[in-house]
Amino acid sequence: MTQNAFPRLESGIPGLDEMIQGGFPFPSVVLVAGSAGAGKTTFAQKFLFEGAEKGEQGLYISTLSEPAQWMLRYVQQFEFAKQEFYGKEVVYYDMGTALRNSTGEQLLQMIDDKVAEIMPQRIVIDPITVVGTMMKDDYRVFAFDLVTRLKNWQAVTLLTGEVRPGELYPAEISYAVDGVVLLMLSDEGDARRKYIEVLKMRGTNHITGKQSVDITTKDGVVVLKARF
Amino acid sequence: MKCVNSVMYRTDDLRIPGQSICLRTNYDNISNAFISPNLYECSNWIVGLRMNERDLKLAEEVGSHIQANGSSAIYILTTKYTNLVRTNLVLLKAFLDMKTKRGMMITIDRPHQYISHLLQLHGIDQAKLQFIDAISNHASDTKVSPNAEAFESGPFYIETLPDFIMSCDGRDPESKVDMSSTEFILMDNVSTLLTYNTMENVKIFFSRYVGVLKERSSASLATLIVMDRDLHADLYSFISPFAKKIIEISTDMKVGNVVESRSPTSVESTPSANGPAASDRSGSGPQTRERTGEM
Ligand SMILES: Nc1ncnc2c1ncn2[C@@H]1O[C@H](COP(=O)(O)OP(=O)(O)OP(=O)(O)O)[C@@H](O)[C@H]1O
Ligand SMILES: [Mg+2]
Repeated sequence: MTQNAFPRLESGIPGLDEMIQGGFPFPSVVLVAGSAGAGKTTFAQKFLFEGAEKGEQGLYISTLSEPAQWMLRYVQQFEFAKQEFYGKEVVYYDMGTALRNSTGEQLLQMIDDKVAEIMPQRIVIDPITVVGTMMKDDYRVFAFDLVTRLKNWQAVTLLTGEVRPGELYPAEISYAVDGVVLLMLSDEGDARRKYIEVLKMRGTNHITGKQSVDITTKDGVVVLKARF
Repeated sequence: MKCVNSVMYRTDDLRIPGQSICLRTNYDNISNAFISPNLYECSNWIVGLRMNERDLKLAEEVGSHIQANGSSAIYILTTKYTNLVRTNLVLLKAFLDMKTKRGMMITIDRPHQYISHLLQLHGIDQAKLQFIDAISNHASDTKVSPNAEAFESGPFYIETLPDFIMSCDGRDPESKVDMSSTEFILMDNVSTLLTYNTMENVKIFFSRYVGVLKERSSASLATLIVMDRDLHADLYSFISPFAKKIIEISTDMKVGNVVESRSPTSVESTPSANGPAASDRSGSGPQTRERTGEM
């Protein structure tokens, strides 16, 4: 029944929407998991700037205590990261410092309040896995509560998760989210290649299996079409 | 009310549990922050935000297009599905704050606690707002506010909701909501009904709803429906003949086209549950006969 089909939000990642029936289900919470340097932050930033181009509101929540300026410095090199959107369509919020001395409930409240204030259609929490290592409370419970609350907002939320060597994806958060997109680096002889794989996407008949990706200065993460 | 020095509190969020001041500022409106006492449990003070200028302007403009006194009518506000919540908030700002009307919000998409929280954050007084919550019994936050009534069979069996609304007439001492003095109804949101109900049942819901309006036609009531006309074109074409006005809200939150129906399908002309559907199928569109009393 088409009348019940989920509305979709374009990901902004060239080649990805074709793999997931046109975009992320709206609203939903999606985990973008990957090893260090696989392109998670670049992916998430492009997602926000794509929305900004369409007049949508974006919120980027950083869980690292390094000032946003460092992250901004890296993002600035990408052509899609237009300066005029900073602080307007793309709002940055640093939660790193609060992370050290807050309970899970306080963190949830902070995120909730910020979301209610900014009223974004696109939210990024980058990286979410840091919260697990920093907090004293049960991370599983926190992750579940966070996802449940975020689902009530009319937004697509991307949570980025670091995958440690030997791990496939961050298990604690994966079961609660609506979708899992994996970004991987793999050894092929002397070349290190980058891949993307959609592990799950609720309500979506998505393409399975790895697809090659490239990171470019113009568009950030790009799915290479030659593979399908 | 006490003004906050805007330069001093440049940081976005200084809410520190245990301390006596709780600060929150809007990213583009820091100088408009204000303090009011004892609103927030973590501290003694809260800095509420003012809605940003763009949304405030929209609230004023939308408010001027909708007259919530004199007669009952249905108003449809069309916007992209990504803007439904924001548009609802703007409407609440316009009606609760600017027009100081008494309202009833029917929540289907998200529990009323979230709307309540949102209003609190935006400094919109909700003393005049009541809720009928059709999703709370499936939501994680189970504590129901003193001004809210749960619709237990929601969000399924939505066709029975209009009768439930009717039954909240203030006569039942157990009931926490009272429709009798309500001046506007806002639904959040009708498209979500299709997630839980068939199109047929949603149409029955509407027809019955219009019937309920007819039964209490002595009081004036503005029904506000925010929807994405492209996403649910079928539903839109069913509802739109009932509307007195259709107001378009653009993606960048500005009023676009405003279409005023010269003769919306009157509340009076709805004989049965399937009434308007039947007349629509004959292709007549909005009824052209004279209205018996303005909606
Ligand atoms: N301009 C560019 N052109 C091509 N590749 C780039 C460019 N800039 C960055 N990269 C690649 O992107 C990677 C960094 O991406 P990003 O910071 O998004 O990864 P991440 O998964 O968020 O990493 P971390 O685990 O450190 O958070 C770099 O390691 C580099 O390989
Ligand atoms: Mg990163």
